[in-house]
Order: sequence, then C-alpha cells, then structure tokens
Amino acid sequence: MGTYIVRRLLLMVPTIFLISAINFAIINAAPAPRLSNVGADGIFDKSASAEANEGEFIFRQTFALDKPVFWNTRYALEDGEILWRVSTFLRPWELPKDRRAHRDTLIDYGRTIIPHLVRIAAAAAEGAPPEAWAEDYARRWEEARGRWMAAGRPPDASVTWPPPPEPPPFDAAWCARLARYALDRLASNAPRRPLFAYGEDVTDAVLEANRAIRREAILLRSIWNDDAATDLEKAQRWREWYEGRKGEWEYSPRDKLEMFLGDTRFANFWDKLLSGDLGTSFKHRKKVWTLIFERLHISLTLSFGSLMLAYLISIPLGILSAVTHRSMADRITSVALFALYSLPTMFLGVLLLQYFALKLDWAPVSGFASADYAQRTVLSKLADNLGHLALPLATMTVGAIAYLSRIMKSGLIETVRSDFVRTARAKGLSEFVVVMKHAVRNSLIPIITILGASLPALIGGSVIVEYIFGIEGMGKLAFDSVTGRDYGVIMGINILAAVLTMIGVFLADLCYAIVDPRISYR
Amino acid sequence: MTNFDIALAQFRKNRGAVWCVRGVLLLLLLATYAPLLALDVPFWTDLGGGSSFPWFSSLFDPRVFGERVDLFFNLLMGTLPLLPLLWRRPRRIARWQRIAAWAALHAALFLGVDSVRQKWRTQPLDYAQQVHAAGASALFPPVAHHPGKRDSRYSLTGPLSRGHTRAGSGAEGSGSPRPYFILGSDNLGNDVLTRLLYGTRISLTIGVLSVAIYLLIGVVLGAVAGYFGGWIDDGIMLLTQAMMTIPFFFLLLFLIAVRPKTGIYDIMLVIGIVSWPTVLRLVRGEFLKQREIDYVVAARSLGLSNARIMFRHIVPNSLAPVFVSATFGVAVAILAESSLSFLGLGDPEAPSWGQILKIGYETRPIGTHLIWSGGLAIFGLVLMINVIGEALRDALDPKLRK
Repeated sequence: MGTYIVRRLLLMVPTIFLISAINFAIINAAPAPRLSNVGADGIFDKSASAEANEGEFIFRQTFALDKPVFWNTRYALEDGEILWRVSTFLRPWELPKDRRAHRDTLIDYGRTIIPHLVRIAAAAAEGAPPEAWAEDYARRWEEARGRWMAAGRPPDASVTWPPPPEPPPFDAAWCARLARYALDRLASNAPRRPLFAYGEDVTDAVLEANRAIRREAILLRSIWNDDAATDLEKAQRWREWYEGRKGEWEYSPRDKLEMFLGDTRFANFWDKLLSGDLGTSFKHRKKVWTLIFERLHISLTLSFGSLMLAYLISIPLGILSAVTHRSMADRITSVALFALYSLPTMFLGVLLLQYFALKLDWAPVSGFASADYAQRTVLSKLADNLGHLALPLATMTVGAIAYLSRIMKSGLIETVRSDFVRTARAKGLSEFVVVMKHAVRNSLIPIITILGASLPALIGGSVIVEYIFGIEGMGKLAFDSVTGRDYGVIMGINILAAVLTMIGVFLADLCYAIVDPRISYR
Repeated sequence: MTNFDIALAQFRKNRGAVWCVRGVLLLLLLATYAPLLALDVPFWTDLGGGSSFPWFSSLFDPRVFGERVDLFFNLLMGTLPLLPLLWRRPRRIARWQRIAAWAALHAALFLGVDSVRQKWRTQPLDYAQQVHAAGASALFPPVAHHPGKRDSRYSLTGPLSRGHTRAGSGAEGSGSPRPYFILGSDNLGNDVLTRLLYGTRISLTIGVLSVAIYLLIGVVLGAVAGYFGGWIDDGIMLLTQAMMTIPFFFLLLFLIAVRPKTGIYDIMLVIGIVSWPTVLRLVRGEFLKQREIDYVVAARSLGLSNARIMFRHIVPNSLAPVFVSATFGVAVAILAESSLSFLGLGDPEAPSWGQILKIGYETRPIGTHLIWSGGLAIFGLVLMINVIGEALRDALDPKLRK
C-alpha cells in the first residue's frame, strides 16, 4: 500500500508536467495580436509602438510571446535580415499582411536589433544602403508586379495601377526613408519595455527600473524629435549613444547560452510555473492566484456539495430500485432516471431559475449571498447561503444522481446474483441483512471508482451552473476570461482544476482500496 | 450468423431503441428537407412577368444559404433518395461500393456547387412583401420564414400568434403582411420553429463530424499504443491521463478562447481534439487483449506489415466498444456544442439550439417559449441517442444475450 501511494504520487509529477505542456501548447496557438497597422506611409505611424494595446502587451509579456518557442538565437541576428525586414516593410507594393508580419517581427526582436539598426540608419543616411538592397529591390518589384497582374489589382490603395513597366528608380529618397524608418524603430525599441506589475508586485525595484527605462526612452526620443537635425546628424548621435553602451550587445558564450535556452517562451513558462506564478490578469489587474483563490471556496462548495448530495440520494435510490427490480415502480424510476441523465444541465438550470426563482419566487435569482450578508448573524448567514445554493446545487446534482443510481443499481443486481449472497440467504439471514450487510458493501466498488472519473465533469459543469445563477465562482471566472480573452486566467484555472481532479482521483483510488480488501496494491 | 447479425437481432428486440432510431432518422429527414417546410421564398409565384420558381435557385444562393452546412443538406435533398435505391441494387456491385459511389457523388456535387455558387446570385427579394404589395399569388413553404433573416419589429412574439402591431413598432401600415409564428419568435424577430429546423442540421453535423475527428485520433493513437506497447504505450497513456485530468469543459473553453473566431467548424474541431482519450483507452484495451491471439500471430508470421495487421486485422475486431462509445459521443458532442452556444461562445450566426435556449435565458422571464423549444430539442435528441447507445451496448454484450 505504501509503495503504491508513493508510486502514484511520483506519477503525478509527469502528469502535471504534461498538463502544463498541453496548456503551453494552447497558449502558443493563441492568435498573435496585431501590434500595429501599416499606415499609408508607415514610417510615422505612431500606433506602431506596442504600448498602443496595453492588454495584449501584458499578455505577451507574461507569456514571453515575443520570444521564440524553444530556442532563441537572436544574439546572432545579421544586418542582412534586419535590412530585409525593414525594407520589405517599406515597400508599398508588398502585401499588407507581409508588411505587417515583418513589422511585428521587428517589434518582437526588441532591443536585440539595435546594433543592426544603428548601422543601417548610418549607411542609409549617408545615401549608401548596401548593394544587396538595390538588387533585392528590383527582383522583388518584378515578383510583386506578377502578383498584382494575377490578382488584377494592387495590394494597397496608395500604389499606382497599372504598375510602371520598369522597377522604380532606386534613389536617395529611398535611402532617406530607410534611414528614417530605422531611426524610428530605434526610438521606440531602444528602451527596454516597461515592467507591468499590479498590486503586491509593485515594488520599489520595479518602479526604479521603469523610471530608468523612461529616462532612456526620453533621451532617445529627443534625438529623434529634434527637427533641426538632419537624418545624418540623428544617425550620428544615435551612433554615439550606441558606442557608449556597446557592451550590452556583445554576448559572451555564457550570455549566448543563457539567451539560447533561457530567453524563450518555453523557459519563461516553466520558470513562472515552477515559481508558482501564474501571471497577472490584464482584465482584473490582479494576480491570477489571487483571483482564483477568492472564488475557489464557492466552486468547491458547489461541487462537493452536489457530490455529497448525489451520493446520499443515489445510493439508497439504487438499492431500492435493485431490490424492487422489474417491478412497476422500478421501471418508472429507471425511465425517469434515464431521462434525467439525458437532461442538459443548462436546460434544467434555466427551467429551475425561470419557475422557482422568477415565477414562484421561492429562491433568490442569482449570486452566492444576499446584499445584506455582512450584517447577518451566523445562522442567518448559513441560511442565506443555503437558500442561494439550493437551485444551483439541484441543477448540478440531478444529472449525477441519475448516473450514479443507475451504476449502483446494476452493480447491486450483479452482486445479488453471486454465490456469497446465496450462501448468506441459505444461512437464513433476513433479506435486509443480506442486502445491506453483504451485497451493498460489495456493490459500492463501481460507484466509488466512478467518483474519480466524474470529478472533471463535475468541476467543468460548474461553468454553466455558475453562469446561469450568476455565482462568482471559478467557472464564472473561466467564462468571463474566455469572453475577455484573458488567457492567463483560463490557463491558471485549467491547471488548478486539473491538479484538484488529480488529487480527487487519487483519493478515490484510496477509498477503493479501503472498501475492497481484495485489491492489493503492489 | 455473424456476430453483427446477432447484435442486430438483439438490438431489434429493444423496441424503445428502435423507435429512437426512427426518431433520429426523422430528424435527419427534417434537417435535410427543412427548406421544403420553412423558407421565405415561394415555390411558385407570379409577380407580373409570368410564373417563376425562385425556391429552387435560392437553395444554392449564397445570400439565402451562406453556410456550407446548409448547402450540404440542400444537395442532400436530391441525393438522399438515391441511397435507399442503391441499398438493394444493382446486385453486381458490392453494397459498400454502391454506398461509396453515392458518397463520392454527393461530395463531388457539394464541392463543385460550392466552388461555383458565388456567381449564382439571384436577386435578393423580400418575397412576402413583394407578393403582398402586388396582390400576386404565390405558393410558399408552410412556414414562410428564413432562419437568419431577422426583423426586430417582431421580436419576442409569443407562440401561435402573429407579429405584434404595437403603435410605433413600425409593423403596421408598412405594406408587408404580418407573419405568423408557430413557436413564437426570438429577440431579433427570427422564427423559432425555422431556427429549430435548421438547427437540426447543425446539431447533427457537429455530432457526427466531431465524433469522426476524435475517432480518427483515438483509434490511431490507441492502436499504436496497444500494438507496440513499451515506452510508446507509456508515453501515449501519460498524455491521455493528462488530457483526462483536465476538466473537459475548461479545456474546451481554453481552446475556444485561443481561436480568433468561432465558426461551427472550429467548434467541431475543438470538440474532436478534446474528446479522444476515452476512445483511445478502449482501443488500446482491445489491442492489448487481441495482439497475442492466434490470428494476429498468424498474420505476423505471414510477414504482413505492422500497419496492415493493426488496421486491417485488429481494428475491425475491436470496434464494438468503440461503436458504443461513439454513439454516446455524438450525444456528448451535441451537448458540448449547445453548451458553448448557450454561453454565447458558439457561432453567433448559426441557428444553434443552444443559442435559442440562451436567448430564452437572457430574455427571462418573457422568453419561456424559447427555453422550452430550445431545451426540449436538445433534450429530445440527446435522450434518443443515449437510448440507442444503451441498446447498442446491451446488444453487443454477449453476457446479456438470452
């Protein structure tokens, strides 16, 4: 038994790992938020700064979605790639989705592209962009023209149609555009992104760090916003700033290794998870843990309450219908229970709400407690909670009762047919003792096994019940987070619910062993 | 008598289940022939320019039936009668080949029409009003409503009544006839009966397709796990365990949340992705039992490839429990879809049953007719499928045979 418990506990470790991995995979499938829209000219589009959408920004920061998934090689970016992305973005004839993708990639690269941008800006401001760009420009122009002709229209309203027969001349104006875009990206990228923190996370260190970031940002933007300076002068001053703190972009082998493995979504996810940090809800501005724990007791009351009720009712019901097997009463209860088993939770809940709460006014319409809850005495508080819980509990319990009593009944019928029951009867024991003492205990086994399996459905089912009755529990929180796209909260609930279920299954298995001494765990 | 025939005979003895099969078939027919019963386009009309038959062309018009599901069922109106004909003859060709040919014909028609129908637009007309204004004669389907053509003037009309003509509601004196609502209307003025009819299409499609998706995943993974055993089995089972530990509905919600928009196909896919563990466990269990049985050993000694042994020999022999589980799975998928629609997370345009219930909940306490019609539809279909599943389980269980 001891070894079995230890083995089961050890097996929980990979299970939790996999549960988290599944959640990680889903988070990665979350749609990449559109950080920016490409303006007609693009360069001076101030919405390009990621601060435009705070919620998505916090989400991306929490889950490091601006980093690569498994390994990060951004220490080895090349001038060529950055130039390619910047210039693709600048070409008005590229498809808007490509332009947006390149811009968003550049934003994701963040600070790592600064040395490259400094070099590109300087070269372009001098009117000498790398030769490769001119060639690339001509080739891609031809490709884009083929696409236009096939589609019969330009990708962007700002581009002339039909396209001119020759690629547009590559000239100083384009160099200036390139330089200005590089400078603009520098202005919005050079400062580190501010750290977002709420509630207990707002420490002096965070505030100080954010102030430093802001100071840096103001300094850099002041260079960019200096209208008296030419692009060349701006690039020069950027270069000076960059030379002064060049060390930040020179990576030692150790830095590279840390970045390669450590600065990724995967590492960030596990780091957060193992330190027990599920992140921050950007809708509620609170830690996910705090949010969940504020509501956990409500959901647990509901699910355990309904579980208790279901067992208390369905075991006697199952015994009764097994004892009266094939009688008229048994047939009617069986059919009724089968129908109840198929009754959708939401239908039942809405019906109960409609008739018992709204029409008959027997129970409160919504919530977990009345408005004057705080002023009530202890007993009246309890009565108030029970009143509020009556309908939700009934809704959650009915399906479970139908299911459990059917299992109890079929289990008992099978046990009653077995030899040891016949022996008990032959000994002359009364029918009551035979059933209650001998048969029932043995037929409890399937109904206890089902306890573990029914837990996930029970916890999941709370979403609908809490939604219908307006109870602010975990299920309602999950629902609100889905509609608000508050992914961190849903993931936290998912993981917590899974862990709770796992513990529940484990306890059910232990009960199983206690009820049935034949089962030995090796 | 083959095992299948015995099971079929057993199943036929269960009269309740046979009636439920008939009920589900009836629902399938209702879903398929919904436009015959409910559409706001007349079969025949005479609007001045001689007789016209707008109903037929509207079946393929993307502005009348925007969803692919509707096109699929509209085409099924033509191809479904071929199925009973092909069931018996021509005898020369094996039955499965006849059925496959039928399915291929339907699929080809569906794909072909779907690719060209964007150009087939007819003039969108409010026929009821046109006919009324011109005083012309027309033959409408019995329920002259469109499932998605809302008209807020008639919102929340009670059952068995015409749209209200409250002062200021705009319904009076507009020259259009006041429509009749057999089961009432919802808050947007859609006819509930029409939406129920077309909702059958969605429920049945979701039930069947999402189960097909997870059967595919579950059978393949379960076969691999059970056949090869060892660390492959351990790995797959650990993943299954993890999937089963996360509450089904929360996982569903999470997947729905990360989809940029939720059409009914997304919902099918998501339900399919979430539900495979049960099937996997069943298939794996059967494989563990069967892989040492003589016929498998014989197949292996003949030098057949692993894939052939798995999918041509063992899988057909281990499908009985999967079959039962898939039947219940259809009910679970339908419930899951309507729960999502009930929560407002489904396709807002699709006339799903859960959505009708949701509107009833949101407009409480007025929308009682919505609660009953949406809820009873879901309940009825789920109940029938559960009865069938139960009967199948008993029929396939040799212990219960008399």
